Amino acid sequence: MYPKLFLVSGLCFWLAVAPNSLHGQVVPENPSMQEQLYIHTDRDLLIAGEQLLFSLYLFNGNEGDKSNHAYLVLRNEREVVDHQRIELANGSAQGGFYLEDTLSTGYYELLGFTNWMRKQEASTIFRKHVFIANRFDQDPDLPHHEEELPQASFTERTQSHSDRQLPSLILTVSDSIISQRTKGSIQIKSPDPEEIHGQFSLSVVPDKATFAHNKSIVDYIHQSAQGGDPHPPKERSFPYFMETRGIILSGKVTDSSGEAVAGNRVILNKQDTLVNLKYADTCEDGLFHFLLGSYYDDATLFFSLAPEEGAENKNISLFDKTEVAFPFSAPPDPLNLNQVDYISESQDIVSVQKVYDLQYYSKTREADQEVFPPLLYSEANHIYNPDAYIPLDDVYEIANELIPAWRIRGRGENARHLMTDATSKQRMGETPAFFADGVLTGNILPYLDLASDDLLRIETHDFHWQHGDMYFPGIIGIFTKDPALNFEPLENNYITTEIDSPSPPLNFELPVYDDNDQKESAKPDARQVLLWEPEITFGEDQTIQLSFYTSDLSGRYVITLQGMTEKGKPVFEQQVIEVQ
Amino acid sequence: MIRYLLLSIILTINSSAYSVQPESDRGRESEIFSSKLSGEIVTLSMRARGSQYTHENWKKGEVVLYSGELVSDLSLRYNGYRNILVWRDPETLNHIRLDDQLIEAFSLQLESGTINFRRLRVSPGDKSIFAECLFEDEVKLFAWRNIEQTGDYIQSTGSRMVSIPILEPRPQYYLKDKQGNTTRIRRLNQRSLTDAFPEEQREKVRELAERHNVRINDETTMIRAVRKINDGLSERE
Repeated sequence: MYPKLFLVSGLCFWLAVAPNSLHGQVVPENPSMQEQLYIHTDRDLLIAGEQLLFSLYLFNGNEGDKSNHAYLVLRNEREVVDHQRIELANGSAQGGFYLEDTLSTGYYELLGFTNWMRKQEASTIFRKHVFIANRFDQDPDLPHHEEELPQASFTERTQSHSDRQLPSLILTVSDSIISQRTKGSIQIKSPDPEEIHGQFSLSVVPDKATFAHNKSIVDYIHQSAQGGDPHPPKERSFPYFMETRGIILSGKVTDSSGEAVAGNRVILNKQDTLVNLKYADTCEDGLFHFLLGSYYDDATLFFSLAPEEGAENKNISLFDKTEVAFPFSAPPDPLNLNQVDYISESQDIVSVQKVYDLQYYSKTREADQEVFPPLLYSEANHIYNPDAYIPLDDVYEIANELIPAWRIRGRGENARHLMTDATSKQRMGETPAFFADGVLTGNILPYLDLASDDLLRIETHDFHWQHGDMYFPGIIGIFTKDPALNFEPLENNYITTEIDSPSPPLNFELPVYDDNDQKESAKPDARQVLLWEPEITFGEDQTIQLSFYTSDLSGRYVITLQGMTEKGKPVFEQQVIEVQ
Repeated sequence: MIRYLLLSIILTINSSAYSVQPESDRGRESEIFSSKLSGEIVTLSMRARGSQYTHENWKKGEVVLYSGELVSDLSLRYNGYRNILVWRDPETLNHIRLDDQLIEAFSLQLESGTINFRRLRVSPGDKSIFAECLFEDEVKLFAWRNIEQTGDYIQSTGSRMVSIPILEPRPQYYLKDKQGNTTRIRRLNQRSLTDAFPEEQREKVRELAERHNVRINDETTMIRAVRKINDGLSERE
């Protein structure tokens, strides 16, 4: 009792005063430990039913650790409409948001952050506005300027960057005027062989689909370096960890009066055909944290308090990673008339894409990752397989007839479970621990009435078993053929949450018009995005050649190259082409 | 009691040290999210002449779990008689026979340095053993610190005669070649070592052993020989 108390109090005190304050209050942040994130989207103006493509860059002053997970949130002024978690490789990732057809017309905010960034000032969280129009809004009440603005001045923008003498790549196009369904070529050249390593992304999209006020990666970093948008650091009372090995799920245990409860043990299980368990102890502020690997992706997680903790009077709450405390930022300038016209055209174009089922993107299937369940034991000492025996009416009968280590005396509420230790052959003094379809439960009664036909298997691990500092006087795992049905009576004893798997990268599938047959195909090509290359890397050469084909849509297109060199220098270049 | 008080103080001292070192965040994370060991609580006392353990006292050590996670700062002992790794829980002082299938490797800190053990699957029956790494490169040499009962010693206790097992180290050596095949080295001599290599390499191994004037008569000379043969085989490739 006392040793535990000392350890928990020591750990809690340690957490309370640890660096940068885990509780985030007073210790000044070391800038080198701060992370920043930039998201290059293919367009800023889209129609519901399209993909918003993105390439993400994470950078910090820290040579060593970097987060391996980032969170993207798409919201309007009322609610979060979508969110996703993405896995980063060397600080970058790519993917897409499918914009649901039902999204209403208006400005949306795309937020990007890592868990580690949540401990920093709110201003360090990446935010940008995109405008999404519902394609069924025939006469949307769009906020707009009456004047028609001149065409975008991309050259000036590029010029302003070179004024800052930032290293840049040279972007050249084979032809500035290209016919429809014709091949175009882009060359990216690095004048400096030292600056070729890095991650870059490139888009070729209608010029009206981008907002001049959205910052390029160069502007964004330049502004950050000058301490732009300073917000006074808020007092944050929550520990945020850098997610390098997995995602971290946090929560709090409170009593019936809402007060934090320290020193309680929270158990985490996943419904599975394996006996699995993780646990975490609450600190003096009632907080607990779990580090979760890919085993928990796309699964329902069951949280409960350890049986001895008096669960009936306490609540477990889990924190939502995608919940952002600060309000939706005021939308930028209204759209200009060019953009209003563009929306109207794009609504028709996207309708054509839908009618012809024109899809230009597919999700990359990631190679199956090896998952490591947090097993309580590697292999059960005994496994009862119902198929190997004559069917029996219930688990009482099965245990007493077929499982030598487990005897049940009495029935229902009066049932007493006796387990014999496999090593000493002596009865264990306490009731064994029960796992119902992989989930630790203090109430196995609903499972005892199941017949052989309902069961997948029963495992008994008849040992005095220890996991971490938890003791189990024998373990019994009952697995059923229909966990969703059989576990239902027990569900109210748990707090549950779903963990989505990280969003996969997207493949951009480029049509090819190399011969006349392809060129004269009756199938329309209504691509507004002529090219999206989210992960460009240089090989041995200082030059990269990219090619693309124009679609059936004419107009001015802007080629945008953004990215980050390995040395952390931002790159932004633009060129304009005309499709006739 | 005093021990826990001390541990609590150490934690507190650590905390103030960490508070000026942001770089220690990883360490903090490791502490909070440290993985858990699993195993059976056992009593392994045995009246015998000779020890079940490769080292008499508890050693500081680390365990690498099958998931690759590292669990540090443990009191460990390897029981060569039962081929089990035993962990002493610092709170309860329970001895826990760790579930060997959940462990990939472990290390023990000795006065002479750290020794590393890996879980090896060896025939027959694909049996799993914990073996000490003696040399690791493209070719690897392992020693299974096996302890066997070699006889009985009859002791009279008052009016009774009691048979007490005699336990002695009987190490076994294994060679893991570049292809990952593990073969037992039957004896500590050059011929057995050569036979442990794949057939197509044996001629080269003999040649290298001759060139380096390899003489094997104990563990140290075996390690030296494997190192030279490994270097020679790598050079030829």
